[in-house]
Amino acid sequence: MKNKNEEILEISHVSNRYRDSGAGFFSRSKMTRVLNDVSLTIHRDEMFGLVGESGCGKSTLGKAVLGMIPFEGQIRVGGMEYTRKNRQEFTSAVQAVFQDPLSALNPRRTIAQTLEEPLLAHGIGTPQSRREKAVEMLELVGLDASYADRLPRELSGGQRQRVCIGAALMIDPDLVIADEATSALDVSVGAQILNLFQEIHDRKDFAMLFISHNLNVVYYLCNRIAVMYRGSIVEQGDAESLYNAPLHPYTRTLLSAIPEIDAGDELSRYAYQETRREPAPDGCDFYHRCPYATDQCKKRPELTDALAAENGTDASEKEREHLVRCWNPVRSD
Amino acid sequence: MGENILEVKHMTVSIYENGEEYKVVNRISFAVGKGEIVGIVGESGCGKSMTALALQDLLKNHIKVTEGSMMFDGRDLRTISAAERRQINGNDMSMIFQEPMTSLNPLYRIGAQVGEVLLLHGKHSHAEIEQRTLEALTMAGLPDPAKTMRMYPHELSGGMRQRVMIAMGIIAQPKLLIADEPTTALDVTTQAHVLELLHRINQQTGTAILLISHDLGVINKICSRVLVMYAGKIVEQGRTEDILRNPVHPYTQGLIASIPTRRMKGMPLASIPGRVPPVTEEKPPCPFASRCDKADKRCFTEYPGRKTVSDDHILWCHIG
Repeated sequence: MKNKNEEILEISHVSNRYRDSGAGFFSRSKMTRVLNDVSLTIHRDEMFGLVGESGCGKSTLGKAVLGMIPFEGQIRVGGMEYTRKNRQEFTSAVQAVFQDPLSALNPRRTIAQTLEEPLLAHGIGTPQSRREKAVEMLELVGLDASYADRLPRELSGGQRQRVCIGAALMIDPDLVIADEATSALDVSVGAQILNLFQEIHDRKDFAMLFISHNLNVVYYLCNRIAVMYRGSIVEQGDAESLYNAPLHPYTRTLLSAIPEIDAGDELSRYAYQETRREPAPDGCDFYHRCPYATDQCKKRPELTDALAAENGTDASEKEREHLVRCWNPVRSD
Repeated sequence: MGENILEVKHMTVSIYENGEEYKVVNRISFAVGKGEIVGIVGESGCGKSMTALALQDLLKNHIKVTEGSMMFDGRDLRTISAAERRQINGNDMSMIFQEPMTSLNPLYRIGAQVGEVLLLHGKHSHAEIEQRTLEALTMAGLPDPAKTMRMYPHELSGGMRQRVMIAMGIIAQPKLLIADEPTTALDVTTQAHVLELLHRINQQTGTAILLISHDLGVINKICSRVLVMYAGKIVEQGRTEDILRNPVHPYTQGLIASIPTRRMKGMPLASIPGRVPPVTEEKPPCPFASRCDKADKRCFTEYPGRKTVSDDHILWCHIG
């Protein structure tokens, strides 16, 4: 019996910067921060959602976990840190599904070859057992054996994404990173893929970091959610409390901006409002857009458990914690 | 002269490829009232963009309108001369596209590009054009319009560029603005601003808007009526609330049930099996029949006729 509370992914104090050469040829280059001291933990079997708008650094964090970019800080997957030496072992623990399945698949390889590749790379099984496992996987992701010898171009977008998900699961990873995995798909096909994620997560044992710009999709699929803004996590908590009682003004802004189809369903729970003011360089990242900002916000707030201090709940109750990076978290009355 | 600014009747758009003719839009009819905001919703490949391009006469050479009429402000766009057509395009009817960066010329300043329409249509002095450009940019909600006029497209963010595109679309005070997925490339918060802006323009100037989107949420935000398209056909149309609350066509029902909303948490989404058929595929009379779980023999043999559900709510389906 595997421990439910085992930490599969531990990200602690991860920052990432790149050198921005500036607008002009002679202008001085400066360092631009993409990730700013990000920490989060994902437990075994958990569906963790990471939401934010374009450029907030959510994909960069995903890449950092995959060992694709350099970063400061520490990332451990199943207690293991990525180094060049343990690449083999590390990649067997974490796999990824990306947005565009066509560019993720090799156009000249058959579906079976693509699915068998992770096994081959890790030296698992015989040609025959690999093939068997590939066919098994095709069935798990809602395709069938007849797809094994086809090429990616013969498949539709949704079917290709199914293959990508299958390929990611071939070596039973502990962690799957899905970066905007349904964003490029049509609504009805995206729904099929969301259902598939739900189904295989029930049947297989892996944790998932689901990265998306769509808060509704993340809420639908995940049990815990973190909201990212300008490279920092601004709010993090279990899906219900974050979605239904958001504390950070940015989370509220995001929620109120989603065009809903359930008109009248206590829609526009928060009137969409945004303020514009001069940004505070050392202050809260959201200061320049925040409708509730005060002078205190010119100092940068820390990510704290807003409710623990108030209700006196035990800080060790990790499941229930609701973190927010704000001086004056919004109370829903 | 009726109350409609645009009346499309039995319009068919065909692609000619390798000597074959494929109908991407198949005998659709709809109308846009003066000052109304109408939405077209559908998945990729359903023909919604082709409809917009046909209205603007922007179809590529191998794609042609082969049937039907497009009455704009009392004139049939298919029969008028190319010169008349040019007078209408950009002037009385203008268009906004999805990707603002590819629609703006990177080598020209914003001011010159926004005012170009007026310059091309003659009749205006340079001072007047500059004044009108400034007004259009202000209306489009750009924070510092005078400064923006002197900037280049690369200096603006995606949302700002889309606002510039909108300014370009409204500068000639058109009677109809066609917006093809105007917010799809934008973040949700920026999208909310742009939708609000389109709504305000409609309220203030009375410009009718034909909004094309794959997102029913976007449609719901500002459109009073919506047309649901599938594989080149309109399958259902009506007032937005009626369509969302009381969808009758199995495709509309499936499309709505596919959207992960708050209420759906923990439940499987009722997704539609299969996928949108490619244009090159031979389709049954009801294009949705092959994916429809309620389909019977009629759907594969007869064209579904037009049915009235209630006043404005019209349906093309054997079952509903």
